[in-house]
Amino acid sequence: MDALLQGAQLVLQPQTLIAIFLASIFGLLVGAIPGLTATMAMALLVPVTFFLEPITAVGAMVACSAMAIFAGDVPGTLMRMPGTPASAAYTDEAYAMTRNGQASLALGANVVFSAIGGIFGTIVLMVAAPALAELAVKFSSFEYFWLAMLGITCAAFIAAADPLKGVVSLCLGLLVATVGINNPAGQPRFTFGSTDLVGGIDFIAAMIGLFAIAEVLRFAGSARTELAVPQAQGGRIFAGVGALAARYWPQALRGNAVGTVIGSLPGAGADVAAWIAYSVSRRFSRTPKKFGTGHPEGIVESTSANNAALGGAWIPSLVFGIPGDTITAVVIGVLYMKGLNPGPTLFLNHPESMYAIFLVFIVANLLMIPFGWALIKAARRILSVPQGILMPLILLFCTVGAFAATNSLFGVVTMLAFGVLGLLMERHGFPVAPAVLAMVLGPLLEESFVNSMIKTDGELLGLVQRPIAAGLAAVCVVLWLLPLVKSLRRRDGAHATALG
Amino acid sequence: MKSDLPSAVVVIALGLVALVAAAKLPPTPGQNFGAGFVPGLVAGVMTAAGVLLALRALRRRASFASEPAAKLVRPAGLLVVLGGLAAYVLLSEWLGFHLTAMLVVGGATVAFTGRWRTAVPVAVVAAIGVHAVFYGLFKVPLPWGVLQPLAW
Repeated sequence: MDALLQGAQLVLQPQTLIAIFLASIFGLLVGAIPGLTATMAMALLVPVTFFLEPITAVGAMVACSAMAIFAGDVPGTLMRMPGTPASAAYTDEAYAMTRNGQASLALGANVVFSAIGGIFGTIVLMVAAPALAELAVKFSSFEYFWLAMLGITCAAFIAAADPLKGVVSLCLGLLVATVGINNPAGQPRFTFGSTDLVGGIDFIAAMIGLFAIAEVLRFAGSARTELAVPQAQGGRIFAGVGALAARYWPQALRGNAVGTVIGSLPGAGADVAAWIAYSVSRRFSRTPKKFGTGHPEGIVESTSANNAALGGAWIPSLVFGIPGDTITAVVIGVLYMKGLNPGPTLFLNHPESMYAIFLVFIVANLLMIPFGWALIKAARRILSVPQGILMPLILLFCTVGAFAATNSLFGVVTMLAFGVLGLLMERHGFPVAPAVLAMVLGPLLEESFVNSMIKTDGELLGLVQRPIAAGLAAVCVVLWLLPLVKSLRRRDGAHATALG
Repeated sequence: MKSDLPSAVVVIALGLVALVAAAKLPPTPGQNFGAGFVPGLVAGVMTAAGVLLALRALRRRASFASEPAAKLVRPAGLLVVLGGLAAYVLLSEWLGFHLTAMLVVGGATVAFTGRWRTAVPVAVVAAIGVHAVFYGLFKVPLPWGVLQPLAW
């Protein structure tokens, strides 16, 4: 109880509240502008968080990500352009509602069910994380090795549309993580004689490159198309939402549950959660034929899911230091920088920080309702800011951010290189998320492996001799074999068809 | 539909280079798994994935992934961004943050919107504003360069 009060004190400090307030507005704006993602909002926020107290920084990031995921719904509904990938699953549906003259209802549903989803995810986080932390205290290098392995496996095999390309992306991230002298052997690796590379590749500069510069490059290289004019939406935003809640509460609940579970899987975040929730909703709907015609049922379920996924993604992040999605990958980078190393000891040594983070989640999701209302009211004006002016500003902000991350121009060079890499990967169908997760998990993977090998005297079988480690290993092996089994079955199927 | 073959070749080449570089790393005394073990393993997996990707591309000739939404039709636009960042790296120490930032932002805004009358005020306000926040508030050592006499 003391810890809870201390946590509340941390959150209620003026600087924390101001940071949450400003980060919320920033998240709303970035999320609402098509092409700028929630992860990009986080990457752009990080340089500012260097200069904040730990809880203030985390509070800003939580608020920013929650707002950005919701805000992505607004241009999706009004212009048929999802503001973030997490809104893409139900953009057509929401836009169909707009054309039917129900824009206000669609947006009202987005705000309210996003906020409820976020709070649901937080409650699960509050219940599950401390319980898991008690288990995690008993973990040693063996369990951590397999947890990290499970994290990168999920990122490549579950979250990527094409597992083979997911694996390539993963390897790329792991190789990037090996650069420098920060490895168990203390040996400089892949530094090519450069003193700048001895310290490794700066994660923050790389993130800004992958998520923001790649986007600026994409914009710069594409044909200038005039964005669609946002459809007008008049009327009261929250009118009719109550009726929706009364009618579709089971769907909202299922969306919350699906979102939290998907979010907690490493590598799969809000966007995957929204797609799955939308298809689950259609699958179990009594009126599946109405989907796609401006039917709110699927929107309720998937907009609940993407915000619930945010809370879910924090479960493995806080308890094990294994990021649940790209957003938490960035957060983990910041937590390490702030000395709040994620892991079960965080719960033991800093319970007040934990409670503070939980409270921030709730505050941010409650703020979403008034802020979301304001965003919807101002949407036409925000969405008509020309991207030709916005992108150069983002470019400058990124450059200063990357410079601040390293206090050297090498940060800018790193950002540029990763921007080009991100663009190339996207053009050739390689997902970026596995590489990002691998960059966070690579060091943990290697360290826990080497520590385990020192304990077992180089005996590889020692990795699976503790029961939990063996269980985690079994899950990994099943996930590795899954694509193989699938492709064999496909081939069998094709064979049978050819014979028939 | 684009073939995955070229990217597979790049992946294989990258994997092999990393494999060779990892093999050259010295062993750690007293340990079975030295500094080169993990990078070597990863490079090996990457090369293998590249080979599988190439085989699949040869069989299918079409990319598994869907085409990206917008085609890159303006190489000049890409050059503006890349050139702007390169200019920042090369010039900011000497010209100072303000002038370099104005150059980068102004140049990109003109390139994207074609309007000087928008670009100039945007560039000036952005440079001064970003400098005030990051240099003044966050104490990031942004260089003054030729404007050193005006430093605060």
